[in-house]
Amino acid sequence: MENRVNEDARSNLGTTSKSRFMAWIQRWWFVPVLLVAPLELGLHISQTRPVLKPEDWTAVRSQLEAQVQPSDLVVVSPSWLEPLGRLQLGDGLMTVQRVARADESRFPVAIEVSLGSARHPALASWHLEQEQSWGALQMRRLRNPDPHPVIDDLVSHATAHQMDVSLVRGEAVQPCEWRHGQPVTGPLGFGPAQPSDRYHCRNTWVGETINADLEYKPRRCIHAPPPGGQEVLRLRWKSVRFGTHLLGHHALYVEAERDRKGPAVRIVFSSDDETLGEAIHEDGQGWSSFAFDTTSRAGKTAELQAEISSTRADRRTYCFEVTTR
Amino acid sequence: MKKLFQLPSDIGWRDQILGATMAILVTAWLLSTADAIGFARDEGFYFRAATQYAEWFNLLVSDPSRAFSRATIDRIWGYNHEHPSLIKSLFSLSWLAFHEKWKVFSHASDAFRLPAMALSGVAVWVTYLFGARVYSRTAGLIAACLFLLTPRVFYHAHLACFDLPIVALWTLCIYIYWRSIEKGGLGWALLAGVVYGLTLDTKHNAWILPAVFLPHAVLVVHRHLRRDWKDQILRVPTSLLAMAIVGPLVFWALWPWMWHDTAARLREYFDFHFNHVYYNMEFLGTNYFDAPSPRAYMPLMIAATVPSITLLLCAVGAGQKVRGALGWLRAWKQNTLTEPERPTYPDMLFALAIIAAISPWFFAKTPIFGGTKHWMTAYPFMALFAAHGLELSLRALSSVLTRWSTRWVAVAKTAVVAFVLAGPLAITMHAHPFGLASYMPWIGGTKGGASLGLNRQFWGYTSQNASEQFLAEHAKQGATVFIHDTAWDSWARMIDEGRIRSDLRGVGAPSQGDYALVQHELHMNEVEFQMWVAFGTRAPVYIVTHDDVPIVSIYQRP
Repeated sequence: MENRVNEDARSNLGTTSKSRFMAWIQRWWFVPVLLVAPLELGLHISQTRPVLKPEDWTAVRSQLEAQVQPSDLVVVSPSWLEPLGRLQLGDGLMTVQRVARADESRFPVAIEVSLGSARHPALASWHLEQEQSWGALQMRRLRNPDPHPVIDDLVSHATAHQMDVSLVRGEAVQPCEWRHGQPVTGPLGFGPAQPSDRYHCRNTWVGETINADLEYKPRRCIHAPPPGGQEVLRLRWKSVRFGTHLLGHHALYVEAERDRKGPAVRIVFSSDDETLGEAIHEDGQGWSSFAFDTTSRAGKTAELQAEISSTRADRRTYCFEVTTR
Repeated sequence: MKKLFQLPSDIGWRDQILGATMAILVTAWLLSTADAIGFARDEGFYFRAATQYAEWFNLLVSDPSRAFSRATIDRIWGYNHEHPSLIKSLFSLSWLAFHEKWKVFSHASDAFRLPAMALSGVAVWVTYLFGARVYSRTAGLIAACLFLLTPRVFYHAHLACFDLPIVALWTLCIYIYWRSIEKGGLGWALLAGVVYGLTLDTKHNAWILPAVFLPHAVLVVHRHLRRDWKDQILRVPTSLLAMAIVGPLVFWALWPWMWHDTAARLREYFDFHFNHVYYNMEFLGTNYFDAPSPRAYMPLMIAATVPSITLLLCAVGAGQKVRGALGWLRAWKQNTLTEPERPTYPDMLFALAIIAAISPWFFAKTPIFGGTKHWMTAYPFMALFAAHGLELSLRALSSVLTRWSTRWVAVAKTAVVAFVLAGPLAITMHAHPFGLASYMPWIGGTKGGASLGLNRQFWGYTSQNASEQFLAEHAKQGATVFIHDTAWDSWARMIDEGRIRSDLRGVGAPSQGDYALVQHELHMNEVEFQMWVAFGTRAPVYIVTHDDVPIVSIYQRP
């Protein structure tokens, strides 16, 4: 009987405290609502103060110029800050090899310049070695836990002296002509810019450019569109230093592959008449990688040939890069 | 005299004067801040359309028979016939009157932009009236302010485009319909029909309005439904009939392009908008260019671009009304409902206006390229709920300040209202002229929006900022400039009006320019990469920023 009374009392107490709490809520609910107004205003004032000062950029630049090795990667985070990074740090630090890199694996060290604690996602697993800050800018030295240094970067070899280009149909080989001219560009939808130095192959061109991949990231690569049908575009590097792997990436210009309507593009690598491997790029894959084992050639110098083909030529704005590692 | 300024409890002509004064002040404010915003891409097309249509208006006076001939109509009104004519006609007439004839404005753009600015004022006016009639004058004033003090509303309100005009006409049309239900009579019904026609002739959003009116009309007549069903009577508000009959007639009468070959041209008009091209738009770091559109786009963009206090108060106001509606439903079920003689359900109308305005973006097929501008028609009604929410908050505040004198309670309430408006005002003022790059503090402001991968601009209107901040001073005489996303007509007008140095020549490819502009949008990166190849540099010479976030980069040929 006593227990029951206690239970009732507890239950009443619970109901009373619940109703008291509800009454309190009903009385004061407006306070947190109205506090949002000064909170929002305060946040706005603090967020709109300019934080990036030219003197901080100057200090970062001096430090980088003293510290950065040619093999190091320099990145600016978050990504929207990169144009300012390129403006403030200049071409000497923001080289095309760094800004339009194929991947991060080739760099043993990265220097990350960031606004506050922003981090580049690709460097999340790299080991932090050093951190400094100037105003709102932070500079981190990061070590790659698993670097794969480049022996030969064949995009750098895409020149008249180091590479031949031809169109091949069966036994018929039609060499492409190396020309020096003006770069050619256009408005949105034009595709990658035609560099001033390039091979002319009938109605298309081959040469080093920067392609916008499916994520609109810049990729330094060799523009090598397949001629379509039975014809093949052949690129031949005369002298390549081999390592244990041939590692490359390929994509089409974003507007050429984002609709996923075009036929696949095939690239076949060979050396001294031996096929090293082939990779196929399907629309929608974006900047994707391929790798072939070249252990038997490691340490040797030989020619390398790439043959690019597709069933159709229209809108096949194919671009690839390949390195020996 | 004193009596004249005392506001009676009923809403009347004094409120119309107050609303009109607000409209004039808003228009004046927009005019005084318009120089800072360069000409957006679509404005270029509408400037051209307005200039072309002016020829027709002149012909209408000088040679009416020629003006009405099919050849003349097709030649003149064929341009930009994918959009109805009313607003472009107003741009045209404003230009003819205020620039060409009376020379009120030295710059044609001010005359072109004036009608949209004035209609933005009308939107504020009608929002006030709606709030004053449904809630209170204070609520009306607060709603009008909260509506305007939204960075994207303020940005679009400056432009010679249709986005604020449709907000104004959409709100006005709903207001007139509601008044017609409230007051009854043929006059209000006919007015509703005419205004609906004007709304149809403003922008295609108007075709969604039946989704607001029909459910509301069912609610209005619900008490009679059972009996009417037995008596085989269909009771339809007169205003609905007027809108169904007069509306399309006004739409047709004011759009000369539709006068000939009407069926085929109507079909073409609907086809164009039902199968609209998907332009590029970044959302959370992904570029969307085709269906399916992300369903989170609309809710997140509203939350990210409308001041949080406005949205929170809107939730408070709407929440209270939802509780009221649930009570109404219970009473209706139990047959214990007591209602006024002519219930008009304004809150339900507000809710329907919001739902109808935003609901297309729940469908994956609806393109998202317009950012928030395509559902801004919801904002006056969200502001009305927000104003009601603020009133409820102030009432709750009064209830805890029982020991304070009436005067101090009034001071406290005024301070709260000032605080509520201060944030949206500060954010809106700060965003100008980069309203499209503005994101709310909880997102992290402009920097937070950029970090999240939200779009910073479209329409290439920031070439003017590039010119003001760099080209005007540094570009060599007669330099060529790649104008990127800026439309040629917009560029030409900026040159004509001295917004851009007159010796600078626009070009259509980066490699043709001594300078090249990149208006930062994700899908525009490819144009910037072209510049790296063409100019052999990755380093711009100057960057226009807003809160440290790049808006336009300027490259210079080495």
